[in-house]
Amino acid sequence: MELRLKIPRINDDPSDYDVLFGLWEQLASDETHQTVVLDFAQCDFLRQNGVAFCLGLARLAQSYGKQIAVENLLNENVAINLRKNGFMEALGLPYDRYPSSTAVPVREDVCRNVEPYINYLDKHWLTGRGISLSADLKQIILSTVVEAYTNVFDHARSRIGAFTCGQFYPRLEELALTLVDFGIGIPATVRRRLNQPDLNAETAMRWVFQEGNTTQDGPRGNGLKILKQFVKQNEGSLDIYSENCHARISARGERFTLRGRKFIGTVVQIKLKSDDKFYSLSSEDDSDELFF
Amino acid sequence: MNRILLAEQIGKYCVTAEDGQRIYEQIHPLLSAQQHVQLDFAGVQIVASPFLNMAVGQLLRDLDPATLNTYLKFENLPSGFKPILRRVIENAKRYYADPAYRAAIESVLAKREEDFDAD
Repeated sequence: MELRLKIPRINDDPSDYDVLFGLWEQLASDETHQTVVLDFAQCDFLRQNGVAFCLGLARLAQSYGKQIAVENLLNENVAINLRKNGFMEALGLPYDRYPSSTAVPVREDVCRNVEPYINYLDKHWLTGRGISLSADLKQIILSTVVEAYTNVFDHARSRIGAFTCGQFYPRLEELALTLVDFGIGIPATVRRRLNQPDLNAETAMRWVFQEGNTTQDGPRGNGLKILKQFVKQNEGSLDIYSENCHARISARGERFTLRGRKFIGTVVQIKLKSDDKFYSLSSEDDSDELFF
Repeated sequence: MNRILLAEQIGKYCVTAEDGQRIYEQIHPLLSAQQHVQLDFAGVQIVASPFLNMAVGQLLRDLDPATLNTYLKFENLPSGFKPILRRVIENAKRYYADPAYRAAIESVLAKREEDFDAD
């Protein structure tokens, strides 16, 4: 007997995440099946978030001792994408390796590997035809995005680690990156930190974005605020889904909404512009300088 | 002058709290003894807040800003990373400026760790 997870078209709107979290619910609540089938029969489009999430689902199933199968890759574009972006290879299935100008390989990290991760982002996400970012700006982007990655290993307690996939959208001049973990989620971390077990997910998520708040010992807790400030200043966006809360951060402001679906884990989705012209970094800070 | 070449000691990516702690343990005794320290970022490509929190932020636990301004210098820190350093320092100042707040946080965190251990 098998559990069949039917994967439809996946974009990166909140409703698409409802679908992904519904698949996760099916898997997390299943106690009877030994095989899980990722069924792509109804999938004619799959963004980077879908790729990262589906690989995470597969690893989660395997961590439960289940077998994984991939079936009905009927749409040619989806099939090609999964064969060349590392998804099929990760699952031990037939794959291709030929260059793509816009697709970024999917990556999984069971433990923290900072240097390879930064190299991956630099080589595969921030470099390519049509992307026009200066070396200095890339360094700042990498230092900002790696904050989200280190958070996974400092906070999330994800037994199967983190899953990352990116995409370049030339017409939108946009770089998208999705980082998924299947840990305890941000609200649970905040509840434990505040010793308030009844705190709802929205309140917890609002708390973690406020200046001065940290879930760790010592003067820490800057990572999400740095990421937030960066996307707000530079026409980017940051979406975080954890439990049933969705946080949306952009130049338009911050919005926290409760969703119908719940996911124990965290999804971080970052969108940035792919050209220097969109960035308004603060003017040169060369004052030398009394930092304290 | 004690010059700490981060690219040699840590590498081109100064990101993790563990690496920051290594630097803190090296420079804290020197600064406490009022010796000059130069943190040299030449060759460092990426600097992130977990590293700076531990290497620099926690110096404010028992060293005052005037002492640190006098004895600790940052060399070759790319200007793009200076806002992160300033944020880390301001956050640490706020954290250590309010002993009651800090004690409350550490008390709750200690309980949380006990809870986790019990899980």
